[in-house]
Amino acid sequence: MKRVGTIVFFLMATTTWAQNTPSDTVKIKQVTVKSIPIKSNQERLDSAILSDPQHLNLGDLLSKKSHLFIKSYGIGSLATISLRGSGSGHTQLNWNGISLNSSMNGTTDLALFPLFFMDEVSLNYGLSSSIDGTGGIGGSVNISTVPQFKKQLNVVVSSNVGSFGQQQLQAKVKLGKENFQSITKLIHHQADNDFEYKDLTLEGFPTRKVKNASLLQKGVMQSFFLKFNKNQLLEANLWWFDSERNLPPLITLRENTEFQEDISIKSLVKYSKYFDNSTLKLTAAYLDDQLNYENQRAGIASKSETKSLRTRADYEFVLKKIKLHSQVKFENNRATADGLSEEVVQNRLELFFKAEKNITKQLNANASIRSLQVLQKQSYFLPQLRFDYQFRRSNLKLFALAGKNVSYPSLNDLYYQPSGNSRLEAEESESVEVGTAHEIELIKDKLVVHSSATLFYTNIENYIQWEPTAFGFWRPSNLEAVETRGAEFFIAIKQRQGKLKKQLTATYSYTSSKNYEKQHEFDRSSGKQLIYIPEHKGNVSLNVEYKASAINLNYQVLGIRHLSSDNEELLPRYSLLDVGFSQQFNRAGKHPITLSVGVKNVLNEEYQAIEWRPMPNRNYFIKMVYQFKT
Amino acid sequence: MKQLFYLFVALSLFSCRTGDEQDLPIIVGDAKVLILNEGNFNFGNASLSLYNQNEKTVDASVFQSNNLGRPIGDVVQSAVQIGEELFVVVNNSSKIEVLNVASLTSIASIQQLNSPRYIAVASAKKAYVSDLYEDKLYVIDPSSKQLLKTIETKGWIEEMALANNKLYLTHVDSNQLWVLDSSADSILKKIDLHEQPQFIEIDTNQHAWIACGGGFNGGKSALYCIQTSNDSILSVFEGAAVEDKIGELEMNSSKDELHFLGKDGLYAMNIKEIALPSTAKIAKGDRLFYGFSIDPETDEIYISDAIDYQQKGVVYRYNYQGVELDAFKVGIIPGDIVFLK
Repeated sequence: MKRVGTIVFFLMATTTWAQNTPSDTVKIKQVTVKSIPIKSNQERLDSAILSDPQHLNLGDLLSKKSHLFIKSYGIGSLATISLRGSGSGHTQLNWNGISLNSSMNGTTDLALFPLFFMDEVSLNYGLSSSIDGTGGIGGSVNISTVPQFKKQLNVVVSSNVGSFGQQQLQAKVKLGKENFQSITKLIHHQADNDFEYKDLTLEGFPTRKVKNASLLQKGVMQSFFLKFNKNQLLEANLWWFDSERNLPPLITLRENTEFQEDISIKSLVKYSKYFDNSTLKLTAAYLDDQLNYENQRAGIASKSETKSLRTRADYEFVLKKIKLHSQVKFENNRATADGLSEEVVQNRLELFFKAEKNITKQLNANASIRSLQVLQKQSYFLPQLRFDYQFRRSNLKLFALAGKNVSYPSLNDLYYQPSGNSRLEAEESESVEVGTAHEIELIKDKLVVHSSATLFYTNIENYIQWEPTAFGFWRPSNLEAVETRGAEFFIAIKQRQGKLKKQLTATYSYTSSKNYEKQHEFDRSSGKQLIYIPEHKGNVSLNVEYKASAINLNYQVLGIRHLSSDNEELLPRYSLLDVGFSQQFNRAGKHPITLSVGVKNVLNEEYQAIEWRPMPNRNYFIKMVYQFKT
Repeated sequence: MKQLFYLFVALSLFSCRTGDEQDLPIIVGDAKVLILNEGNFNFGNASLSLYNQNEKTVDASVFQSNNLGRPIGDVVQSAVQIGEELFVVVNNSSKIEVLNVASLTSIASIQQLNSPRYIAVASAKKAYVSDLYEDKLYVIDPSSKQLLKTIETKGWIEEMALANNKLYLTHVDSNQLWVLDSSADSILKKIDLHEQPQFIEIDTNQHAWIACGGGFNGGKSALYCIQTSNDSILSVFEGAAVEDKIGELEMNSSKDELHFLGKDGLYAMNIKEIALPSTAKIAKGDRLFYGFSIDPETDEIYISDAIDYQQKGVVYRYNYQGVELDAFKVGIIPGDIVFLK
């Protein structure tokens, strides 16, 4: 009981220490990171975390460093997001403010987003995602490229080699002066992913190797930033990424050869002008995503392509001490696929207006309204209200917000042949969130504690679910009213003693995501957790830096996930411990070199994130980064 | 660093896992109703459930219990009994598991199939296996469990039936009924049908009844009656509206009354009728009728309900008049029901 009491105390303590979020968490190599003042229920992951060689892609990173649950089908395989108990299409992935979610299936595959292409990743949980648009019922993940305007020639070349034939080669060239910057990034990634696993489907549970799991990914990203003067910035980004993946079969299937190639070209132009009392930002992006799928066994070779023009204009200004934000978004989405009888076109228009005012010195209130109009279809109006309260003489903040969001059905949901359902209703949500954030400096310049806690509740009407029929095909329908509720806790303790820096970070989230509809007397799903949504997820990481050396430990625990809606079948909980060590050489010189080594899944846990899809046991990596800078 | 210790202790508690449990083997005894639970496609959660019709008890996962905890695979599609052996087609695992009927333990597995669907038994030495993707029909020897040969079909074959020494194949891709000489294994005839022919039954007059689902592009369902002596079409019954689907077919024990799944539930139609029935014999109401079978000895009707396709389904047991006798939980997506002899 004493041990349980300690744990309860710990959990309670995290609710009273409060903080913004991890603005400058773990650092492997020396990177200057400024504290970034962002609101609670938001989180920002900086370049130091992004460059940690333990993370192969965005999905890998987010599963360890956030409250997100990443549903991964294996290393390098499909990885989708579930945030706050919602579905994979309920989290928006935004690139410099533009959604990258596929108009065809509404989701994103995080395995197609190399961290090397990003300078910053931030998360908006729940309603706070609606600042960038509709659809993020669970929240949003925001990725961006950030320039540093100075005269420089900075070349970084890195090579990461790991178990199962993992090889990543990356290069980055930053070139520019005070008013112009060019950033070029190249990536080449290949892996066999042929790790061993215990086959529980065969008598005697023999050890076998994963088959048909290799991948080859190549990408280029080019960004230009031009500062006309102090008040005007023009940026242009081009992103090309080609991913060829063999798809490993379930271990219950012996021989199955599936292959998927994703080719994406994303271009984005953004113009920002800062007036004395206002800001204007204009963004336009053209996204072209092609997916080629081959299934040798089924004799299938299918192609699909989506082309989207997505634009956005933001104008922020202050009027009589009221901060106002207006926004217009327009999207033109086109899709062609073997499963669509003809090219499908959808146009969406969103209007947004927000007013924010400091009612007192401590209390800030803001109200917003967003409208979504799917042209020639429906319209939705989504109000939101938020209060932030800052206590006097302390860094304790409280916040509360309530509002609506909507996720419109994807083009596949509506039009896929033979089973698309053009009568589908949009998924509409109503949410409430309350939380605290706290920062306290226990010893000046030496010991700082950040913490935060959030409680949330969301009701999603018209939840869309695909299901088979008795007549030989699958069909989406609006089935369930789903309620999600939960709590998120975060704490970071940072300590500095001379050249020794220590940081301990912990996150924990509890998520209840339940369906409350009952089809008939034998339906046992009512009031039960949705499948593949873990109730418990926790993470602890410790980073210790001394001079040019750093050691990092990350311990992640994922609770049970139910496999059936009656909650009678489940996948057991698992925990993963990763350990890394890095050493910098010549870090003050022009040619610094960083050498990192690490062990993932140190405890050699045998686990499945998805049933009958094995995950790798203990594995290793070594990474070398060479930098040339002027 | 004390906090670190407490954190690891706290998270370690969450990480405790239960040990693997081994189910005890199930005694088959006089239980004879075996439910084939398809499971979700690509989830590997198919299973077999055994129902004792006398004691009204059910063992939800008899294959796993009687085969050292091993799951049966991905999508159990159909099964036939040949002698004392049960041939279970595991569609997405590309295999046929052969079980001893008395113990429901696996005695062999026929591999190297592509996407097998149904088995039609010509003799103890010859059976046909249809396939979704292979563009071929497999011919196997049930006694040796060997693949004998393949027959080109150039498309997806679903259910098959034997009559008058001929094999009748529902050819989904061409919307035809193919007639095969089961001695020479050569194609005799191809009969054009409505879209998506999938189910076939033979009645007491050796007439073949074929259900066409109407396809995936808004076509109407239809029921065909074919005279197998000369392979001519005797009658065609078309659904009144696109929604009037005709799904799985089954005959009663005397093979003079046809039953099929439709829009509002289970329909019955005497083979002498001249029109489709307008009302369901067993209305489904809120239930989701997914598959059914009729006990050839008692004529009791067993209908499976997949509920939401994500939880253990239910099988309802009715007498022949449609009065519900029992209902019991089985595995995920119960499809077909077979009666062990």
